[in-house]
Amino acid sequence: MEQRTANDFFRQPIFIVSTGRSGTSMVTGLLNRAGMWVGEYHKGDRDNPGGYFENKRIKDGVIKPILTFSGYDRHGRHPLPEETLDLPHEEFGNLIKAHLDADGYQYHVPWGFKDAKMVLMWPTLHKAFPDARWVIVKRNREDVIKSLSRARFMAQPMAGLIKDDSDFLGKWFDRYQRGIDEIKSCPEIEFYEVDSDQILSGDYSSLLRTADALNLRLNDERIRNYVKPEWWGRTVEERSSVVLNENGQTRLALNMGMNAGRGYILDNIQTNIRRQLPQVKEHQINHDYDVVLVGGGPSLAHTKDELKQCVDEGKKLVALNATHDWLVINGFRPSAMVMVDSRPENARFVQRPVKGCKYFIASQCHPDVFEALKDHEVYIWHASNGVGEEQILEDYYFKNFRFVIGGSTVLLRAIWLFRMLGFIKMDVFGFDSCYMDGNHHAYEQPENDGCEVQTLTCMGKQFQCAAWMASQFDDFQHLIQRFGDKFELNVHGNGLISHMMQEGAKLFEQENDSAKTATGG
Amino acid sequence: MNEAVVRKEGDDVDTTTHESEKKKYEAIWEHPRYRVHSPGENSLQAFLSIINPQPASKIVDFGSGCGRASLELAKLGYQIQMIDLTEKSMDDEVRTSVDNGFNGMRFMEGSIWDISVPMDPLSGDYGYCCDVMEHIPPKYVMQTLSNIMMRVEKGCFFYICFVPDVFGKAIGQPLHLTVRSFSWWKEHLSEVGEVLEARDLLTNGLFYVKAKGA
Repeated sequence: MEQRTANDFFRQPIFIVSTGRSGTSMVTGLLNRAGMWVGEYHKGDRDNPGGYFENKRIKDGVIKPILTFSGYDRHGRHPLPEETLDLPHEEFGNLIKAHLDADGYQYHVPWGFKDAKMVLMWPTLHKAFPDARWVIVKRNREDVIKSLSRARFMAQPMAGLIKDDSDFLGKWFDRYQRGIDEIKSCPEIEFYEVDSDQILSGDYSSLLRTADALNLRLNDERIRNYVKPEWWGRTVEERSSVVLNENGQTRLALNMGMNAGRGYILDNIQTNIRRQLPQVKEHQINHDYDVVLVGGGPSLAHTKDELKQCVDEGKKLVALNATHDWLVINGFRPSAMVMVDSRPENARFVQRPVKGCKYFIASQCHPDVFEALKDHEVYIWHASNGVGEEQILEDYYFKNFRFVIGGSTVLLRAIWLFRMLGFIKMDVFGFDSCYMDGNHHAYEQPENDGCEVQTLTCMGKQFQCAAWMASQFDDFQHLIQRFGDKFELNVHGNGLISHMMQEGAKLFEQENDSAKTATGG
Repeated sequence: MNEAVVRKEGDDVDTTTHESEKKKYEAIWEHPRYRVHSPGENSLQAFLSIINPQPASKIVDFGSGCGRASLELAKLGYQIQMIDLTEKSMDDEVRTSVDNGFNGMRFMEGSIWDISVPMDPLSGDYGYCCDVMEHIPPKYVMQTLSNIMMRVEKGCFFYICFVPDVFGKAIGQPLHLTVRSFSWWKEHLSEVGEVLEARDLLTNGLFYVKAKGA
């Protein structure tokens, strides 16, 4: 392999950009752990708990002065240059080299610099570093605007402008997005796109591809150990509404949905996709029926009457794993069943399939599950776990497939799956995420016996949880925080999830009342 | 069995449908944009990787359209017979190749459901039928499938769209007349042969059907 010189490393930086509040810090932090040098940066604060990862010297000594001397806001807030800044570039390379030297860069690994403001002046940087690789971090407009409205660096100094112009943040986003689009349309620029929402949902494919192209060493485990959705997805105030007593422990079971080794899962996928089954695909919003997701949490046993009422109202029952048989035994008829777990013993959940029931089985499930359902209506879907399944699916389906994101348990995935199928309103039963009267399920499930139990405090109430329950709870909060506007959930029972939703709703009402009182409304 | 009518040899051809469909496609092929995108051309890689036909095999391109897929296959050394409702569908380069007899390429104008099309030379080792079946009037679907499978020794590769077309509005008529699901097509294809491959590609599907007795 060709040996790279110090000059090669200098001439080929990695520039990480976005429209702001898009997860660039998270991505830069990950690339930093993968071997990219970033130098001295601002550590975490309320707006960005994980750290900023933008080199202080380059930001303060190069990027901000470019904006200032061009007559714009040095922080990249307002005013912004209408035309992207294209300045003489001769000096910038030397200036940046001086800052790198001062920061102790040794020119033996790739160096990276992250700053969203670069999109306002990308031609200047491109001419100074024509061999640079650009990493574009994507996040949807709505979420970025929401995040900006909460971020101190924007919300407070720009409060007047935001008040005067309700679309101020939207226009701000659009200006940055225009810069991104210009970068992408420049034929001389080598760029890679990374989707931060995908990373937070456990799909690391775009990031792994990018790291690979940049010759950086990144793998699933390294990402999983680093990514904390509560850091990158919400502010500290929002996090403090839920107190977890063991820092970090809630992520222990992040990929519980896998429940098996990587090779094992990939083998299952390779086998199952060849069964000539229809894939689950997006549907229009369904206005005819609502669905009821039936999880196996202990409260299910105490909410049968409510469940029956849902059925009487014409709602369709969706069984998850073992609740399929529980429903049948208790006189209910499931319209659909979802399974994600790849362990072979889960085939026992489908030994008594129901005629007319639609079975939505993840491609990572054990082939015995599919075999048991060979005479029934089965749809195959794909859970994203970031273990290499994407390549298999791309090859087989010629890139025509959809991942179902959602989290660590079958219930979390089922919420997304049925949203994809067009269902907005969902009643949810047996979704507790805690022990109740010492039980982890409404029925016997020996696989979950003997789990270590931790105490978790949520809005003034204590709950006993296994690691997978805490993880599910954490994932659910993340799901609601990010995508809660895309579906309506009515969680039955009195477990941890139901408690959080009820208390959260009360808090929301109180805040609304306070706001009305304050404004005289 | 299904809603499509299985027509027997000797039945009259529905010339009204044949003629009206032919006129429709003569009109649509007048639009240069219609020939920009060729599903047949785009599916070639899948066909070659899945079927891996023997060198110099005879391939019938059923509903050959612009003919670019056929030309590519001819360049690879396969013997190509094309059939389409109208010869106006062919790209200029393809027409020239046919006129010059490039690698034995031949074109026949006709509808696939019209069994008056002579068996020879319209037969081969393999069939290639991309972006065609969804265009067939529903009542002729099974007849078309039967005709195709009757004319191939080994099997036929199908690439079928499951959603309505977007280009028909250019002539005020839908082009996709049989819009059905992956499962529906799989079930119907299994009536005319053994479905060895069936991949649901979300809005399209690809199938390889082995001829009976092959």
